[in-house]
Amino acid sequence: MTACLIFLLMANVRPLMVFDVSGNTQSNLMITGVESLFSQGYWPLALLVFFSAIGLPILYFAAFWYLLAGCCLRLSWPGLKIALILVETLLPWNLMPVFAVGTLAAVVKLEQLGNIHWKSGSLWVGLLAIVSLIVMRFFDRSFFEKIITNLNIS
Amino acid sequence: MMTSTQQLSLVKAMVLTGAIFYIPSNVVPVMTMTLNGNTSPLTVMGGVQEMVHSGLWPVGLIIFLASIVVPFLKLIIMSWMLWLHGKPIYCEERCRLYRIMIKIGNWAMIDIFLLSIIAAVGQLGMLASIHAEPGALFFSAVLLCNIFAYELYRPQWIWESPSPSA
Repeated sequence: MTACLIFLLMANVRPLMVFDVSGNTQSNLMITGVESLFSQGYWPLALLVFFSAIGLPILYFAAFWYLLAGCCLRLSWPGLKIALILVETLLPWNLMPVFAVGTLAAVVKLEQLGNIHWKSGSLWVGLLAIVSLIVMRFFDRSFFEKIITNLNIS
Repeated sequence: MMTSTQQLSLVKAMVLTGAIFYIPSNVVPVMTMTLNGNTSPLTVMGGVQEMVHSGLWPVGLIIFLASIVVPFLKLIIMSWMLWLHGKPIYCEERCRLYRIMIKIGNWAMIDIFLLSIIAAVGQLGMLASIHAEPGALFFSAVLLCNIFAYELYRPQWIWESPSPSA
């Protein structure tokens, strides 16, 4: 889960790609799409992209990290139950795999208009998508509930 | 806290709103692409067709399934489940379909992410530019209505018989 948080940080701070048309280049981060939609006046879309690609995944992975750390180290940290509810509620909102495929589709489309150079941000997005698919596959609510109940009793 | 009846009414409202917005989301352009002075508005289906014509049919197929078929299926399946609410028939099928739709439903967001990425990259003035269009707002409204309808729908309703007052 620590790896997920690192991947998420890197995916947000490193550029995804550089677009080149007749020598004019432009690179973009994940947040650039949000800024661009906002500047075009489509703020509801910008908010939707911000929350589904950046805000909610950060909250989801942070809550999951807190829950896992508390349960693995057998520490009765405050709010473990809230973290569990948060992880379960935000599970369908972890759209990193969808974002990764969206990035691929965008690159294919942009290649029709100019040259695309991959940057390291795309690699982090891909890694995060794979790891988050594994995390989602093996999430078991009852397992965490049992540990939290045991921690509260002892 | 909402009662079951209120929650069910909200699900119905979400499905109805989603169905109303589904038509403009497919008719109104979602983006405009400008390259070397040539401007072309694109609907969701137009984007798919363009990809297929350029030989990129695997990507076109993914976008077609995720952006056109999945939202439509989600609306149809939820309408069917609401129609059968309180009737003890097709319970297992409804349960299975509900679970499948929850799993694949959010893939419809692929088009919104695609738009946000290409709108960010393609801002090179006269050379190339990509702008969002109102169709994208209708499209995201359909997606949100679908997501919230499935989030608000309680799977246990499939197995419940209606209360006398409902």
